[in-house]
Amino acid sequence: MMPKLTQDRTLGLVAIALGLFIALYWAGADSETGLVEKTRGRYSIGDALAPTVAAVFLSLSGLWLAVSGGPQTTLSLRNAGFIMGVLMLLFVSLGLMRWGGPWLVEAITAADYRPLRDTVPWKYVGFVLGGTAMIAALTFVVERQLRWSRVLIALGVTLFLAAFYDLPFEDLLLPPNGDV
Amino acid sequence: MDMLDHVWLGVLAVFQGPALFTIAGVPIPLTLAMVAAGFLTGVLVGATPGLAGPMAMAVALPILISVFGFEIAALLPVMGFLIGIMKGATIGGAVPAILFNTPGTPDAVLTTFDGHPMATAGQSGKALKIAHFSSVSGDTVSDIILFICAPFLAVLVERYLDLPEKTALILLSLAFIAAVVGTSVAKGLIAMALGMLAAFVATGEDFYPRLTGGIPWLAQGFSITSAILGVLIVGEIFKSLEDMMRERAATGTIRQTVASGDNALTWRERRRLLPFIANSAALGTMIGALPGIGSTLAATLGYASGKKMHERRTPMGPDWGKGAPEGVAATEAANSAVSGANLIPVLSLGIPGNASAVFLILATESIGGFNPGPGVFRVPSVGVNTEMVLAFGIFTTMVCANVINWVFGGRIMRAMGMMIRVPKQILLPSVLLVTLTAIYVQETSLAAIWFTLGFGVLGYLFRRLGVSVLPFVIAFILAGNLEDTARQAFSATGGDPWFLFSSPLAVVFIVGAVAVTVVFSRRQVGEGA
Repeated sequence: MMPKLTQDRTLGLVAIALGLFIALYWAGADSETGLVEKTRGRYSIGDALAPTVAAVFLSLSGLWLAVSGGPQTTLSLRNAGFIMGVLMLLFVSLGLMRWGGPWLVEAITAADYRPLRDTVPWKYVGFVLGGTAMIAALTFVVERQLRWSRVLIALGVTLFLAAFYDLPFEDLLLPPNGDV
Repeated sequence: MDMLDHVWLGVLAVFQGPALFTIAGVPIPLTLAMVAAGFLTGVLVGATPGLAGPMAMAVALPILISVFGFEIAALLPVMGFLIGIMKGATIGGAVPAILFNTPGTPDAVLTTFDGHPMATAGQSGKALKIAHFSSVSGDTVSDIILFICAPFLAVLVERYLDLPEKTALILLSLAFIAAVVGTSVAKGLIAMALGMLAAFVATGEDFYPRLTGGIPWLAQGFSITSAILGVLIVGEIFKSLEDMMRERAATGTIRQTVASGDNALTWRERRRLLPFIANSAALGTMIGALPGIGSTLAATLGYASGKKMHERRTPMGPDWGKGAPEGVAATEAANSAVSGANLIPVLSLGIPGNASAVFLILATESIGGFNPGPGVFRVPSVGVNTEMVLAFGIFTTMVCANVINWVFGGRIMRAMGMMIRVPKQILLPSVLLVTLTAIYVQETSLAAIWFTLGFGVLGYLFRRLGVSVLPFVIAFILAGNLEDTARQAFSATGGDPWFLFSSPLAVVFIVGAVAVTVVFSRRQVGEGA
C-alpha cells in the first residue's frame, strides 16, 4: 500500500527535486569553475563543488524525510492567503517610502528630489509616510478596525526612529535616501 | 619580564590610563568609563527587538575611531566600549527573546524555548532574573578562565587544530545543531542544506558570481543581516501577527502577556539552578576557546546537556522546552561563557567565533599596533611584549564589564521589561520597522529590505512546517568559513580528496558528526513511537 502523502512527505519530495536540480544542473551550469580544477599541475576546489555537496545533502535529507515522515504540520491555504495579504500591504508601504518623497517634492517645488534628499524636511517624508503606513496597516490586519489612535502611535514610532538614526549620526541615511 | 609582570602591567594600563574626569579628587579612568557606557548601550540595544550587539558595534566602531584616532593609546578605550556593548547586548538580548519570542541573535533562539513560555505564564520577571543570574555567572567563570588559561590554551589550539581538523570541526557543529534543535533531524538537515545554499549565492573565488543566473541585483549575494534577521525576526513577526488575527477572530480579544505569576527568584531557586549554570559555563568556555565555532554551538550544547540533567533531577517547574527555568539558565550561562574564552582564538589566531568578535578584530586591525596572532602570548627573553600587556588590558576591561553587570545589569535589564505592557499588535509591526530600518542604514539599499522580507517569508514557512530556523541560520554563518577552510585544507594536502580523514582528530570529529545525527534521529523515533 502506498504511504499517505502528508505535508512532511511532500516537503521531502520537494527537497529531493530541488537538490537534484541544483546538483545535476544548476551548480555546474551557473558557476565559472567545476567541482575540481587543475591549474599548473595542482588540483584546487572549484566554485561548483560546495553548492553541489550542499544540494546532495538536501536531496538525501529530503529522502530521509519522505521515507520516515515526521511530526504532522498544518500549512493551509489560509496561511498562504494571510502571507500574500501581508506582503501586499508591505509592498504598498515600501512603495510609499520609496516614492513619497520624490512625489511630494515634485508636487510642491517642481524640483528633483535627489539634490534635496539630505535636507530637512524632505529627507524624512518617504520614511515617515511609509513607516506610518506599515505599522498602521499591520495593526489593522490584527484588530480589523482602523483607529486613529493607532495611526498616531505609528506616526510617533516612525518619527522617533527617524530621530534616533538621523540626528546623532551624520553618515547614516534613512530609507529610501540611499537609493534615490 | 615574566607572564605575571605582563598581567599586572595590563591591569595598570586600564586603571592608571588617562582620566576622563575626577570625582572628589579620584580620577575616573577613561577606559573604565568607556566600558560602562558601552555596557549601558549594549543592554539598550540588545533589549530593543530587532537590534543586536554586532549592529551597535558596527555603528559605534567608525565613530569611536574618529573620536580616539588610530594611535595605539586608542585601543583600550575603543575595545572597552565594544566589549561593554558585547556583554550588555548578551543580557539585553534575552529581553525580547523571553517577552516576545523575537530573538535578535541565533543564541537567543534557545532562550525563547523556555523563556517565552514562562513569560506567557505570567513569569516574565522571574525568567529575566534567571537569564541575568545565569548569564553573569557563566560570564564570570569564562573571564576567570580567560585570565588564567588564555596563553596556554592559545598554544594548544594552535598546535592541534590544523586545516583538516577545523573543517571537520565545523561539520560536527553543523551536524550537531541540525540534529539537536527541532523536532526532526531530517528537517534540521534540510534547513542546514538550504542555509548553505543561500550563503553560496554570489560567493566563491571566481570572477563570475555563482548561482545568480547572471541577475545583476543578486551579484552581491545575500547579506548576513538580511538573511539572519529575516528568518529569525521577520518570520516570527509574520507568524505572531497571524496567530493574533486568528485568536481575535475566534475569541474577540487578543491575549496579552502580563507579569501576573511568581516573579521572585529566591536563593534556594538560585542554588538549584547552579549545577545547570556550572555545566553550561564549562561547556561554553571550552567551545569559546575553539576557533570559528562560536556562542551558538555553546548555547545548543548547553541546552542539550541541560536537558539530560533535567531528566535526571527533580525539575523546578514545567517540562523542558515548555517553560523550564533550568532551560533558560542552561542556555544563557553557555552563550555568555563563550564571550570571555572567545577572546583566546580572537587574540591568538585572529579567528572570530561570533559576529561580535569580528568587530573586535576589526578594531585591532583599524587601530594598529596590535596584531592578533601567535606572537601575542610569547614571553620575551628581554623587555616587554607590548601586545601581551594590551591583551591583559583587554581582559581587565572584560572583568570590569562583568562587575558592572553584576551590580547594575539585572536592574537595567528588568527596567527594559516594561515593554511587555505595550500591546503586541502595535509592538510587533514597530519591531518590523525597526528591523528593516536597521538593515537599511547598514546596507543603504532597498534591495536588502526586499531580501529580508523574502527570508522572512521563508522563516514563516519554516515555522508553519515545523522546521527549526536555527540550523538554517548557523549554516548560513558557517558556510563561507567551511568552504574556505576546506579549500585551504585540500590545497595544503596536495589535492588529497580524503583530507577530512588525514588525522585521527579529524576522523573523531567526522565520526562524531555521523554519530550525533544517528543517535538523535533514533531518539526522535523513540519519542514519536
